[in-house]
Amino acid sequence: MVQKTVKVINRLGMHARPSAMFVNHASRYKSEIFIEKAGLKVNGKSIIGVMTLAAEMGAELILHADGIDEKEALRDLTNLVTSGFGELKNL
Amino acid sequence: MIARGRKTILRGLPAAPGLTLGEARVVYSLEQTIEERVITPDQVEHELMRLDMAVAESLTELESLKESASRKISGPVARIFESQFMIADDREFLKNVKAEIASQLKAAEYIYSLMVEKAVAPLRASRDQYMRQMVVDIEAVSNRILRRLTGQAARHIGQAPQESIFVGKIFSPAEVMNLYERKVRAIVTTAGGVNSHMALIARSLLIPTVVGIPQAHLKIMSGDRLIVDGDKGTVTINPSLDEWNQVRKKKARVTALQILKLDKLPDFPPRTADNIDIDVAANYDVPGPIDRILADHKVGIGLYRTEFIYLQNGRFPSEDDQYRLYNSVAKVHYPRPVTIRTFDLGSDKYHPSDSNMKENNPALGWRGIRASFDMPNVFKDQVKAILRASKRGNVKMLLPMIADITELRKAGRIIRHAMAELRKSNLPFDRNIQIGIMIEVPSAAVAADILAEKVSFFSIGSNDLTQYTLAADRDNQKLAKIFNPLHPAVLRLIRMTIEAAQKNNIPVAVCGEMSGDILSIPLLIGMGISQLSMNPSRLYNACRLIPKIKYSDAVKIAKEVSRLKTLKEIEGFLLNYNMSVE
Repeated sequence: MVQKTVKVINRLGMHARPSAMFVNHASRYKSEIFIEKAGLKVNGKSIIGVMTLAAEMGAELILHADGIDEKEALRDLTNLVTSGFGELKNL
Repeated sequence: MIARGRKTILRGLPAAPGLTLGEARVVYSLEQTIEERVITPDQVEHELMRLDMAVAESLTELESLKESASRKISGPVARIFESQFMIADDREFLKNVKAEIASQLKAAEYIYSLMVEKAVAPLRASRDQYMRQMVVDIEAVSNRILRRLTGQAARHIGQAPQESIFVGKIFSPAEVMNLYERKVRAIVTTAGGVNSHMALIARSLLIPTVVGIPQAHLKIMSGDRLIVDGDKGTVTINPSLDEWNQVRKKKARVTALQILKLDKLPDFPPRTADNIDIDVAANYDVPGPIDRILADHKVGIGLYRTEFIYLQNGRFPSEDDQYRLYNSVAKVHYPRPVTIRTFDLGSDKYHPSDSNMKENNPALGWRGIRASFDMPNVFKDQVKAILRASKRGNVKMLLPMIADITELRKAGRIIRHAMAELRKSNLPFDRNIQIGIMIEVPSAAVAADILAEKVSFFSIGSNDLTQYTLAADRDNQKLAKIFNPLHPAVLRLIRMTIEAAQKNNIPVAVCGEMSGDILSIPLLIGMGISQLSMNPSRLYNACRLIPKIKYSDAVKIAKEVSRLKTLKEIEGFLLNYNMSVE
C-alpha cells in the first residue's frame, strides 16, 4: 500500500468535471484507490464518493493505492490533482 | 382578461437572453413517496434484480439523451449528460447499496434513496455553487432510478401545451431538452444560478431564462400572462395591455431559431431600394443550433462575445481549449468573417464566490480591457487562441472598453508579443489579421480621430455608449425613459466616430441593440455605418425593412436628424418615416 498527501489547487475545487476525471483515471488501474479528506474516506473509483468529498480549493487529500500497479496509479493521480485537473489557476 | 390579477414584477438572475411573452405553465415537483418497506431474506435476490434493471433502463435513457444533446448543443454542455451517466453507472456505490439491502432487509428504493441522501448531505451544506450543482446532478440521476423502482411516473412535461412559459422550482437538463422540443418560449425558476447546468443548456438552445426568483413557482399561477426578460432577469406577471402590446410589437417573442426556421431570410445580404448592399451580421454567444442557421443564410458574425466561455466554465480555459473552440466557429462560418471580441468581463459577471471582486459600480469599474490588462496571462492566452484561429483569414479581433490611445498601445504590445511567440513555435496565423476596437466609452468616441489611425475597424457598442454618455444605468427601470441611443448627444458621438473612421478609410460597425432597431436602421445607414451586427432574433425584420429604404432617403434622414434638438423630436421623425415605408 502506498499513500500521498496532495492539495487541491484548482480554484473551483473538485466539482463535477474534475471528479469525473479522477474516477476515469483511477478506473484504469487494478489497484484499489481511496481518497481521504479530514477523516472521511471514499472509494476513488466511485464518482458519487469522489463528488461527495466536496473538496474545495485548498483541501488536503490523502490518496491511497493498494495493488499490483499501486505506484503508477499513485503517480498518475497525484499528477492529476496537483496539475489542477488542467484548469487554470487564474484569479 | 389581463386585468384579472395585479401587475407584479419579479426579479431574478438573467440566465439566458431574450425578451418574450406568453402564458405560464407551472410545473410542480413530484415528491417521491418512498416507504420503508421490509423484505424477507428470500426476497433479497429479487430486490437486487429490480435495482439492476432500474439502473440499466436509466442508463439506456441517459445514453440516448447524451446522443441527442451532442447533436443539438455544443460539446462541453453535452458533457453534463456524460457525468450523469457516470453517476448512474457508479458500480462502487451500487455495490454498497446492494450490501445494505441484504443486511438491513429493506426495499431497494428505500436503501438507495437513504444512501444517496447520506452521500449528498455534506455537498448540500457547502456554500460553493459548484459543489451544490453536484447535488442537482446526483439527484437528477437518483430520481430517475427511483422512479423506475417505485413505478411513479415522471412529471408530465412532454404533455404540456406547446409554446408556453414554463415555471418551476427547478428543471433538470433533461427536462430543458424536453421543453425545447415542446417549443417552450421561456423558462422561469425559483432555484438555480446562472452557471447551473440548466442555465447552460437553456443558453445553448436560445431559450430566454430567468432563474433565482424567490418562490417563483408559488407566486406564478398556470394561465398567468407573463413577460420574461432574459437580458434583465425580470418577470412581469399580468403586465398592462400597453406593455403586453409593446413587447408583442417588438416581435422578439419568437426566438431567433423559430423565426429563421419559419421564414427564410429575404435576400441576404439585404439591398436598399436603390441597390446598395448593406452589410448585416449577427451577434453570437455560444455554439449551438444557431451556427447551422447562420451558415445556411450566409450571415457572418459581427460580434462574438466570448464572456460566456468564462461564465459557462467558471474559469478561463487554456489557450488550446480556446483555440479549438474559436477555430471550430471560424471553420463553420468560413469564408464569412467572424469578429471575436476578447473577454468583456466585469465584476458583475464573475463567480459570486469571488467576493473580493464586489464593486459598488461595476459598469464604471474593473471590466473589459482593464480587467484583461490585470490578468496578462489570461489575456495573452486568449489573444494567441484568436490569432491561431485566424489562419484561414476570416477572423478579426475586437478589443472592448478601450478608452484611449495609451490602452490601445498597451494592447498592441501584448498582441505583438503573442504573435512573436506563435512564430517561434511555428503556429500559423493570419499575419494581416484586422484588429479593431469597441467605441463604447465616450472618451474613445471623442478621440476617435486619434484611435482611427491605429486600428483596422471600429465597432460601436451603442448600449454602453448610451449609458455612459447619459449617465443612465441601462438596467434601471426608473431611467428607462432617459436611456435611449437616439438621444442627440449619443448621435453626435456616433457621428464623430464615423467621421474619424471615414477620414482614415476604416469601416465602422454598430453592434448594440440599436443596430437591430427598426427606427434606428435607416438613420444608421444614412449616417454612413458600414455594418449592422445584431442579435439573430432581429435579423428577419431588419432584412425585410432594408429593401424598402432608399439609400438616398436615408442620407437625407441622417442630415435632418442632425438638426433636431431633442430625443422626442428625433423619435417622432423616425417613427414617421418608418410608418411611411412599412
